[in-house]
Amino acid sequence: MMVYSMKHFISLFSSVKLAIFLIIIITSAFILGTLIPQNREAEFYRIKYGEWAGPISALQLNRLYGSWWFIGLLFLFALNLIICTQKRFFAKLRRFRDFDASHVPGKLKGLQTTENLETAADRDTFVPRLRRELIAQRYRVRQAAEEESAYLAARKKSLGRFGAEVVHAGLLIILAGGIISGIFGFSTNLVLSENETVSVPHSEFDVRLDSFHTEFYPDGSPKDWKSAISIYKEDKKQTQKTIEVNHPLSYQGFLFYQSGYGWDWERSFFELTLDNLSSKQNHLKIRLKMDEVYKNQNGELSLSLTYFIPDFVIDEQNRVRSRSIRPRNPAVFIEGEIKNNGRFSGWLFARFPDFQGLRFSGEGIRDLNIRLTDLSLSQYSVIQAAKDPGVNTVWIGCAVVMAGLFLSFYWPSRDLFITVSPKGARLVIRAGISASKGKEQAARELKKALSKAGG
Amino acid sequence: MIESALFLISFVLYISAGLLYLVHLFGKKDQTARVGYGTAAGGLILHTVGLIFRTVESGHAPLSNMYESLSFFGWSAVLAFLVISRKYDLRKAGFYFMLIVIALMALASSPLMSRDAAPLIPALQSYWLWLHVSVTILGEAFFALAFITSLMYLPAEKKQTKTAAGMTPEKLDAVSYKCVAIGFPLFTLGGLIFGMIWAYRAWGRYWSWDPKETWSLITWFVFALYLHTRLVWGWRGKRSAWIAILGFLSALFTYFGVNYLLSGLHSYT
Repeated sequence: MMVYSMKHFISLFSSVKLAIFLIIIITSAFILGTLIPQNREAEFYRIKYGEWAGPISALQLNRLYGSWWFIGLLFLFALNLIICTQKRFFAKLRRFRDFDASHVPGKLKGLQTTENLETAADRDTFVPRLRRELIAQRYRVRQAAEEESAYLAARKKSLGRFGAEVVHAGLLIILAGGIISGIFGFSTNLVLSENETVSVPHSEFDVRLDSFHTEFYPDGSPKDWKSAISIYKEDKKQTQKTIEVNHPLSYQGFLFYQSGYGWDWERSFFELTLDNLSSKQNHLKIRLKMDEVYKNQNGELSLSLTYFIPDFVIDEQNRVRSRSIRPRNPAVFIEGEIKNNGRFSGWLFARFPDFQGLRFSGEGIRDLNIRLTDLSLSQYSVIQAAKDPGVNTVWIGCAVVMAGLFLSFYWPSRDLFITVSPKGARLVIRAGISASKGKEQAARELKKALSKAGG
Repeated sequence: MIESALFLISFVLYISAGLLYLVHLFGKKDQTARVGYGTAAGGLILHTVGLIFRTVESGHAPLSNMYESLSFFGWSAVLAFLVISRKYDLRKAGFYFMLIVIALMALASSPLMSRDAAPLIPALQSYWLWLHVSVTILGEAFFALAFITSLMYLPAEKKQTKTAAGMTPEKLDAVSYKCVAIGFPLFTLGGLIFGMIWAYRAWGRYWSWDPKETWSLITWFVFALYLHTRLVWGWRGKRSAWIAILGFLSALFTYFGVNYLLSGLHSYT
């Protein structure tokens, strides 16, 4: 669409039509991004979409929410919001500033006059009473006089008319926060074993894992992961806290989260006891780490441990799995071979060392007895260190949006315009209401004030 | 299990209320509608007690799995109905709305929904959890009421001359708007804002374009569209009704569809 001048540009971007159009397009983009799985490997799209994988990648539909065209749409939307909002805001501000009772007759002309009555009351008693009654109903009142007539302008909850502008401002603040987060925010995962210290990137301090443990429910499922961590600056401890999921540590703009955990195979040991029943070479004790290959002195025997299950069970489908992450029935899988005699493999159980379930492929080594006699398991904790300078801006924006919604729906502004003119011995009262919401209630308040004043 | 018994009794009361409103729809006697209202209110009280018992028994707010949140949704829906009934005459809508409540309670009773008061996995141990879920569901309950009145609007508009006592098309339209006006701030606060706070405290990111998050934003945009077309363009009636219907369907998809049809961090079934 060719934009010939600034004036055309502004008028296009201050249109609600454009806003509605953009809302529909952006919402469709949102939906598309949930239907096409995001941020997977190229292989995934090739398999799932075949020849469409190329166009999907070219249009960045696989990383839609960060794609150039999506960001462009958001930018247009923000521009539309800014121009629409500031245009309407200044128009409303002008009307808001115009709280002048001498303008009442002119205002009344434009409104449907809701009250038109006569009373025998005296002007000099009626008008002050009316003013008092309006004030009693929380109206702010201004008064003017022209010849024999009195004009009253009354208003209540006037901030309510700015509800939409406040909501829009809040949305823009949230967007700004999001941009700051996107550009300046970052997070890294720190993998720590107990008593290990690592330095935190982009900062001047280090974090040390003092201890890590998992709490379990009675049924064995994990209840919580707790890492006791300390922050050090040049070897001096600054602070410490036990973090768990939902309870991060906050320090100098950084947040440290419990992000994951795992078995630390570098610091975990398994002790095997080997007995050769025929040659009576007994009680050979070996200490091994996971995946470490052991070879005996003459090189005939080699073995390694390749897999670990903390709570070994065979389920109904005859599959080996772990019932929980609690080491209640630790089992380790061993593989090995004896030169010229064949291979062997099988599960060893810490709780049942005498259970010999090894499978042998060759002859002559069936008298080998291997037991898992000890194990020492160590876990590492994965702590995510994140810094997000935009997040507080986002929270402020959220608060502004809620304030704006409150103003829009629950703070209805209303204006009353009243003229009181003498007509012979009586008074003629004309009144009008300007209220975008809650007109009936405003009418009731007006009636009540008029009747209490003596009209 | 006291909670199960109370759930069942309130379910039965809701069904009775629905039947009473159905009778009222045909018989048009005021008395039937009054008894229906009382029955629904009675069910709500017992349901409330049931929710309290569940909280005490499980040690956390009753919102951590599908059974609990469906039960809470049913409770919120009845609450929304009773709240709006104080200002608007909803007797003609009573039957249709109780159908939604009954559907929710029936789904919650389904054997596919595990009722076990299982202890919470670490990610769910946070008071932001029950603030986020409860306020969102409360907002969606009002969207559900707007859904019903919008659906009722469509045929009512056609038969302009034959207006049901107390439920003219204009009334239905006004109730729909009122429900969205209450539901929208609740949904914004609970679904989006509290959700972002919980995500930030649990996972370190307030927004990840996760399908559940994205769909709640989609729902929010649809209702924003509803409000803009109404308040700025003056749309009323049929066009407005369709957007409200679309919005509630989007909310339903956010609540159910995402869990079962898409996947992400949010699959807490």
